[in-house]
Amino acid sequence: MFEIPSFEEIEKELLSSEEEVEEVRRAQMSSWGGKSLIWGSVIIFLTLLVSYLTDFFPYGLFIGAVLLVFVISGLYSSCKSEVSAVYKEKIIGKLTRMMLKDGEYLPNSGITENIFCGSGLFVTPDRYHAEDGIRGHVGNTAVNFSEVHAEEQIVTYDSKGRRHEHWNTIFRGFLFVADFNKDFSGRTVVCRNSWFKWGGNRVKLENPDFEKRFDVYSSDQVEARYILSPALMERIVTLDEKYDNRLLLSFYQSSLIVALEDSSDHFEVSFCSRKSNINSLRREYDTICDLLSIVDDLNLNLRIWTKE
Amino acid sequence: MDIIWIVIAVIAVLLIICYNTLVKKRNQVYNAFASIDVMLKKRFDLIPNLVATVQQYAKHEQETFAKVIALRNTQYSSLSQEEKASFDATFTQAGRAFFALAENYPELKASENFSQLQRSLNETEEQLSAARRTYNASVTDYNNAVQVFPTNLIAGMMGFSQRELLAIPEEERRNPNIKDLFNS
Repeated sequence: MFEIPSFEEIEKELLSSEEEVEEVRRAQMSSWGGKSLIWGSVIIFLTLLVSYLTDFFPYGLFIGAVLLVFVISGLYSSCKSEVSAVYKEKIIGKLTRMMLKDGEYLPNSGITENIFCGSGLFVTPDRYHAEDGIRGHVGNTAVNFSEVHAEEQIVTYDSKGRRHEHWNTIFRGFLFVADFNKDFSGRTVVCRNSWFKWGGNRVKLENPDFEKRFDVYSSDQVEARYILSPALMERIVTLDEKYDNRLLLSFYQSSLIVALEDSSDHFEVSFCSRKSNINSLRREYDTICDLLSIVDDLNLNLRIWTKE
Repeated sequence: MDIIWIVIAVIAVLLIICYNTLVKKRNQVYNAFASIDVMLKKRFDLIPNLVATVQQYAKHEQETFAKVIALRNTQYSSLSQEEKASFDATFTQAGRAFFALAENYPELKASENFSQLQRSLNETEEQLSAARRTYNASVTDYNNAVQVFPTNLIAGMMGFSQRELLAIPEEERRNPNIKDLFNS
């Protein structure tokens, strides 16, 4: 029986990896400092020289300052990404393998746009990005989750007919996909209760507390009730309380998709301080624990139906 | 004069909308009832498996399942509404007896047949329960339309009467649990 180790065990196990990351971080910090000094000196010297020779002093200084900021921040990103790659491999990768049976961490990929759109919870995005994919098993239940940021492009025209574009976030947070313990073929969407109820596919359920929180829409009324048994509705209500009423669920292709809004960027390294990285390990451990606990909270390991 | 015609037209449109609403809701009730029948048929199709498993592992207990065994060679479509209702009760009892039996027959409990049948039975029961809940939701929706103004006026004139809800057994109100099934 696979059990999630305690944080203390994980911390102990990751101690050597954390030191490796710290070594890389220090090396990259000094590399960034050195490169910034050299490039900064070159830019300042050239700016002053060109300004002096061309009588272009105030503008030259401004252009030089912009160039300096651009180069230093470029060097910063490059050095940070080196540390980030090591952090993700040595810390998050190991953390995943320790916390999940057959755990696997894919830093550059995640839940696909097809699943995001197929869930029926959101409109089709114009820009979609998923990263920090984690997959594995909790008991008999296969799980797969990642950070997702989906946006739509809003185009407006002002009174002079000029076009303005901006990006509006549709969803930012975790998309958690788990193999559901019953087989089904349709799609059932559990979204937040709203005044506007759309269409005839709405499923009215018996649990008043559940009905107060959610509106359910499904391609099949009987199948929706087969999925949302009275016991599961109770569990979803409890889970929703735990997540401060931010839960969105979809049952699609015999899987459960849970969308949890979260504006913070997870699984990222701090370039400036070691202490932040130690603190963030606890935070990421808690995040993964919370997400994995959905399986037990919704009793998905109960495998008494024909789907094994 | 024109106003009178407009009022008559508005009333006629309202009557048509109310009538169509009632018909749609009544059709939903028929549809939901038909899905219960589909699930009962699915359950009926498990009889040969159940009988074969009992005969293989617990021959001496065949009397317990006499009513179900008698149904083995019957076509579901040939059953009357009363026979279907009776089958529903008979099968529920047989299902419980089957799980209780497993406690006394370790070979049965350990067999692959039992495990498969148990899963199929659980699934069918859950689907049947869902079909009954769908029927009750449709009936509630329809009964509301029959009782509230202004559809109640059309319902009274056109003979749309209220329908009875199905009583859902207490054990179907929660998820089946293996332990519970064995203790029943």
